[in-house]
Amino acid sequence: MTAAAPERVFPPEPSRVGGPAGPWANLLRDLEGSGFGMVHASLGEWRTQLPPEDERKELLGRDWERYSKLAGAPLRERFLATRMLIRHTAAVALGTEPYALELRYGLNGRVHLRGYDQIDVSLSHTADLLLCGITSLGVVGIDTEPADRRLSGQDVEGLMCTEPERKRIARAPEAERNGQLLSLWTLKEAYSKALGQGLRFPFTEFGFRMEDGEGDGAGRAARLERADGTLVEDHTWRFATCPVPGGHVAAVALQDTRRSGRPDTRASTALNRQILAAIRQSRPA
Amino acid sequence: MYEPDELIAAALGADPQWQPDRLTRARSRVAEIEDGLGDPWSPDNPVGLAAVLAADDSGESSVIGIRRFQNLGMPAEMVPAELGGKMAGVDLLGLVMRPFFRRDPALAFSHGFTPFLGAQMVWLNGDARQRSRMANVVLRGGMVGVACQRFEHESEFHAQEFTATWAEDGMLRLNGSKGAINNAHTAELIVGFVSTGDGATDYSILMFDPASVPPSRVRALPRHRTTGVRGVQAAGLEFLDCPLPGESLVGTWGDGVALSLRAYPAVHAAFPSMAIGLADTALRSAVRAAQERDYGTQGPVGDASARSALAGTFADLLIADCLSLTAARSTHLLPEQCDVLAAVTKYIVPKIVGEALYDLSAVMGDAFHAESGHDAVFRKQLRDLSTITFGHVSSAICQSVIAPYLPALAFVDPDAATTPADLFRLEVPLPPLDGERLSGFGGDDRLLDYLGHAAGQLPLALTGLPHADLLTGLVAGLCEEAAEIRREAAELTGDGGEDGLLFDTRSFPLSERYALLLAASACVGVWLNAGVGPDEFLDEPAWLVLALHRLLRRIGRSVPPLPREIEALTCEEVLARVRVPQSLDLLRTGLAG
Repeated sequence: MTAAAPERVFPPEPSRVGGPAGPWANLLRDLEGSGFGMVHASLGEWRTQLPPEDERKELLGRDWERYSKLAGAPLRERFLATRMLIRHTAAVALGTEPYALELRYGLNGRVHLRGYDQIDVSLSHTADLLLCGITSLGVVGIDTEPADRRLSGQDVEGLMCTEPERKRIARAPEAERNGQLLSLWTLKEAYSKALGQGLRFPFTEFGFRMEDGEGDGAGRAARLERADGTLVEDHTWRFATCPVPGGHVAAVALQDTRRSGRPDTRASTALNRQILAAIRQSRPA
Repeated sequence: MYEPDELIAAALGADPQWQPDRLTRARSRVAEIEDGLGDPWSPDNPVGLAAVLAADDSGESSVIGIRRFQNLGMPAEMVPAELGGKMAGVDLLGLVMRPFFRRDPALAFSHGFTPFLGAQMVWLNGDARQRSRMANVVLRGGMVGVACQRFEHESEFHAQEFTATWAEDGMLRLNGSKGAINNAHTAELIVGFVSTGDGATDYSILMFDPASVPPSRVRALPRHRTTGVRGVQAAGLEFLDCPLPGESLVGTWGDGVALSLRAYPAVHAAFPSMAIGLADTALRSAVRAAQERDYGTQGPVGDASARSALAGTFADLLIADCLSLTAARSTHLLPEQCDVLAAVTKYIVPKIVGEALYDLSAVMGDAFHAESGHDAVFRKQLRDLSTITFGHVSSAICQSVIAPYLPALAFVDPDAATTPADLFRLEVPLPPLDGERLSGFGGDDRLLDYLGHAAGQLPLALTGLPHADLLTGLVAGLCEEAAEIRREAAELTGDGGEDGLLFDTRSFPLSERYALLLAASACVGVWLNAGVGPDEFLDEPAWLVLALHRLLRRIGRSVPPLPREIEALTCEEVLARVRVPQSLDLLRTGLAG
């Protein structure tokens, strides 16, 4: 028997990356330690470090078409900054050049790294904040919102909450209701993104129940429940909310299906050397 | 048991001298297995979905299911005719396993897929005695365990490995511990990939009976619980300087990896085909959930996005079927060149089908999270698919086969033979698998070129059919992508490392787009050649338009808008096949439920 790995804080605190140069060490540490990590970045800060216009077509690759269809510099620059953040985040895990990677989009728009299924990424942005999560365990979805975003009193409950969630919110003190709604909203977005569904999965068809107490670190764990409030007993999934510096809240939905103690995510070790050697020997030079 | 051909002929009112063709035999054999298993949705069926869910919950295998597997003659379906079985092609094996994958993926994985995987290693590489010994075990329904080697990008089944050395007494010594071997404690024969030397590439394949080794030298380790297919009896084994007779060695000492590569094509092609049965049940359960929510059972499905998801998923199952049919037939028809096509199939089908099934989660809504009742079947199928496809480690193995071939795409041989039409036609009988020819690893299946040939044939084939311009445009888009892939292949810098094994990382995304193109090519080939015979739905271009449209979107190329009737027609076909019921695949077999 090997000793059980120490319980790690979930979710780990997102580390700040000031630009393409990083720092990336904390992300790599979290990814190697727990199979999941998050980085946050400032759009304003990254915008000053974007490559010049004449280099963008080559750097964006198949994303160029999307980019060139966007109207106006602000939208284009945000798109470019988010694609750069995803590429650099993934490149840390894969040990590759960020621009040797290719982003692909699922039929519902979910972003993936084409050809690399050892990792999964998820991106969320709001105002100046860019947040990117990455895992080697299975699939991940993240979402973030400004902590002061008003949802309560906008009749949002009826559109996004299950009956048990509405009842719990109604019982909460007035001052806590908006925070609870924000947690539920971000959790639902995160889970739906992890499933590759975006907003297709109706938010009144599933719910979340916050665990008591503050949980690990600054994060707070949540549990998935059905529309009628029955808990879903699927232990491959973990859900939590956490604060992000700059006055934001975030939620993470993470599924572990890899079931490996130390997942190796590097591109350089993905191809099996024995197979390559055997094929090489069998083929004429 | 097979129905004698003359009985089928008589039942069809045909001339007694008439021999049913391969298609008819395949359909009637699948229907026979379906009948033998009964309506999966019936709560009283001991091998139905309710019983399978209960067994899955308790982590057990279905004893009645295993007996049915044997009584219906399934073991013989895996064994080549020359070894006493009835296997008449890798393409047919996938089809006949679907009724079991529809109902009980854990049973089908342990009793169907795993023995086939282990046995292929022996039948293509072993001596006459070993081949016959393995055939005898499989034919009488004995269990086979497979101990995989360790990969750097490990999974639960690929995390540890055994080592073997020759001892002075002329026997082998087996050492090491491995925590997850399917069928480890029940296997009559274990096929093991063992590390056999100092060199990193030295592996050998061994076949042995775990009950025949000295009990003091082997230790049974606890059961290994998988996330999906919870009834699977995986467990660990530890060997302590365990003596094994020299004749346990399969093939040449140290050549294990090359020998296993001969067996991969049939395994890589057969598995995705089998798994279409699993996805058929998931799609069917989504239809039922949507109908029950909207209008009560058997009604129409009202929600537009639900109809779109059902149609799209069916198109994806047809893509998977076209590609696995083509790959399976290539293992017999193009043995020297089939390795890359088969690896492409194993690589891309789980991704396409997995994405399609996740899309159905929104159709399921609240029922997606059901943990009992027939709605719970949907998420169980998703869970099972995730476990039995082996996830990333399997992708890495397939990419290891595909990547070395990519640079060759840059060179077009104008004198190359065209793709044989028989590759796409299930009715044409196949020669047996040939281990020697399978060691060619040529990769040149010519399916990429086939797109260009097909584009030339389309105008005639589309005469009088709807959506001709749209389809022609989609195929033109695929041809442009093929040209782009060739351009990018020319830019790859291969063989950079000292040992020639360092690959350009651009090979990874390129291999995925190449896989999607071969899938498209297989769909076009099956359509143009009426791969499963005349069929009123498949003969029309609607499904092909939808399939190619989805593949081009996945490739990342812009596509024209899809006329509404394409998805509408395809969705109607799904609902009709659920109602009748018929299988949601190319063959349209009558089902028991």
